[in-house]
Amino acid sequence: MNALRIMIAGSALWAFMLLTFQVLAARGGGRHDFSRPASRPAAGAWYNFTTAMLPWKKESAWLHLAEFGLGIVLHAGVLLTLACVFIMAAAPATGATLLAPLWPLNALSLAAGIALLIRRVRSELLRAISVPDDYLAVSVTCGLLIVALAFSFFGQNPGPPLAYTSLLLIYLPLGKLRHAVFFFVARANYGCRLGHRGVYPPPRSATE
Amino acid sequence: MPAPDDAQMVFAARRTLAAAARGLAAYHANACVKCGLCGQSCHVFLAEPQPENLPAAKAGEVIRFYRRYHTLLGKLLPALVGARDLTPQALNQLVEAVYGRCTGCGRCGLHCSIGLDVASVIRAGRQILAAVGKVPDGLQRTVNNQLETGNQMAIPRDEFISTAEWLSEDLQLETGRKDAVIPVDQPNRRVLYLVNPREVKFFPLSLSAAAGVFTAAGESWTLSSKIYDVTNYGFFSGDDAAAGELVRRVVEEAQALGVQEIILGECGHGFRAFRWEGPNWTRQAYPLPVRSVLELLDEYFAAGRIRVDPAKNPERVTLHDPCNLVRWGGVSEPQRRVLGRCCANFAEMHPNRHNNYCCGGGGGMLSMSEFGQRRVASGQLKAEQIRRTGAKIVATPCHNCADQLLEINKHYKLGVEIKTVVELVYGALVWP
Amino acid sequence: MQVDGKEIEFDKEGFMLDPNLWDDNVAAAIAREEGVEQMSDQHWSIVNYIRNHWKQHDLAPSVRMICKECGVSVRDVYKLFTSGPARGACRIAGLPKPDGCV
Repeated sequence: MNALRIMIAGSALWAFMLLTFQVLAARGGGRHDFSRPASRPAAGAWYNFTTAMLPWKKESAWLHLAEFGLGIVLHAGVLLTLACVFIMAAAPATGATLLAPLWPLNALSLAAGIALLIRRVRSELLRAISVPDDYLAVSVTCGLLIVALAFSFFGQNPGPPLAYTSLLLIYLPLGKLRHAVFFFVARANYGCRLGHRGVYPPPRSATE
Repeated sequence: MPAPDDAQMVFAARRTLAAAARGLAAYHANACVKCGLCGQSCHVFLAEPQPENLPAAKAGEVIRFYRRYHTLLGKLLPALVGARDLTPQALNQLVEAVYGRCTGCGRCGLHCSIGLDVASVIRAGRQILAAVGKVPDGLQRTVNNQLETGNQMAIPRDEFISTAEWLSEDLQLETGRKDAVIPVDQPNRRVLYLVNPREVKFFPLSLSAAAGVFTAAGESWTLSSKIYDVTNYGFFSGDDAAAGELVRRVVEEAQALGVQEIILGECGHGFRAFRWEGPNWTRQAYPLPVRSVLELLDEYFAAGRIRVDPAKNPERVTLHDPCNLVRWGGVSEPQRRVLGRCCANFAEMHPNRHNNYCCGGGGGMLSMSEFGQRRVASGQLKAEQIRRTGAKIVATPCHNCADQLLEINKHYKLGVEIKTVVELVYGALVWP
Repeated sequence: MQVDGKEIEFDKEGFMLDPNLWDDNVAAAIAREEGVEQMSDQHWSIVNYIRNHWKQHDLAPSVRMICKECGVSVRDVYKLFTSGPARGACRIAGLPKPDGCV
């Protein structure tokens, strides 16, 4: 057990350091915007994380409700499972109590993951833009959900979820899963620029 | 063993890529999950639904180079993450993706599930190609014209001055006012006005209209016979050094003439380039304010400096929002307030403002004949938007959009008239 | 496009690829595409002026020069050529596409 805890702490540190390095490298020592602001960057970022993400404001959601729903379910299962696994590493009993009853969500989440994987294989458009890493990322995520389901049904052994998660954390900063961090970085950066220029938040009177 | 020129080219490309990898494009290059949901937000994809036209695919062509040289897996296992070597051949293939399939309108970015600034990633591709001299000919010629002659259409200085005089004569006849002139190179005026050379060469009515409105408002203004071009094709081509040089010249000329403010004529990308990107290219804040003429017109109305009679513009008018002015520039309301005062029958098209569709002519597309067919095809959405409004006049504060709209009008048989905002204001003026 | 048995080729914007193949019949054929069924004397005087100016200076003339030389007003030019002086008149005159925002 202790070995597993050390392993997960080690891979978490690896993921944290690599991701931090990537974010800082991209930032290039910070960039000052020399143009005179029209509005507040923070207000733009706030809008970009709130109203702009509402399903009826965002065509990637609004025009693709099925995929959007599947994505939400997949992310909910994965993120909650990861949270439970981290708690389990710190406090095994509490973590186990939390993870075990998560199986209905995880079953749905796994189904969503598989559906998205099938969609990626079957859609001509998606096949054309996909690289092996795109399939790998969904697959390893589904793997986590399978391990979590096994935990719920077969004896609640903390070993497999902890071991699997630490492997996942090693992969996290390398492949597509790093969008877990860059989602926030990209959306904040874009939102700040749109805020600085007075694009976001849009005028209250605006009807589109 | 690549030829020495090839090696130099690859070196230059990698250096530019490395600069982009330190810039904001890298945030976004790391974030795309290829969900493939961006197509429905892109006017090029909607007109031609092929995988190559997906915004994610276009950005992906740039991201694969980024991965090859700036990510661990891309260095170790390039095939796994679809990373690709920068080779002369790969660079040639990038040209169509970043110049021919994207106008940089940015609509996909606002609707992206992640919040990815797709257009900035694609522009990083243009920067790489500009660094190795692979900008499409028509676009590069326009940049060269600007750098060499001071204006994108290579209009000789005498011709510019003669045109200003000729327009002044007509304007005086039309308005019956002696003070209605187009001042050139006048020192110590309040405003330096920049125009699109297209106005000087082929479509001068908007310049006369602006002069008429400035006269009515009692504005103190001037044009410069040396530097009057509001456009910035270095912005389109991805050549930031050229773009910065054009900006620097304008600021210098403004200071030499001793004006207090630079007012940008109706030009979408010119506004974005001068107002927002320029100070970051020159890495220096401007010593004086730079605004759009729309903001100035709005101010005239608010201060009661001009009066109009909307009955003089009785036909239904709709408004096309230029992407670079609105979605990238944040100027959406002044033109609406102004048109609301000058037009008896104003109708919005939908969607509009920051959510508007590109007309299809952005990103320098109008100067690249090789992509002309796709450009006209991608304007179909705009044609339908316009048709649904039932408008007789389409106002647009951008000469680039105006050209594309003229072509859409002809191709899709809309039977509308295309006007700039200042032309509609001039048409409705009530002289004091 | 076939004119008098000659095959005339255009770029993707409809501007002639080989301006040397231009003659009055080609001009009239392009004009019909532009919605000008019958070229009037005014049409011809503008088109010929643009053509000659371009031959001499390798540059399309400005609308001021067109108005001055052909004795028409700006608004007349737009009425005669609904696509405007560049995409309308210059195209009929067989010029390559002018550079820039047109």
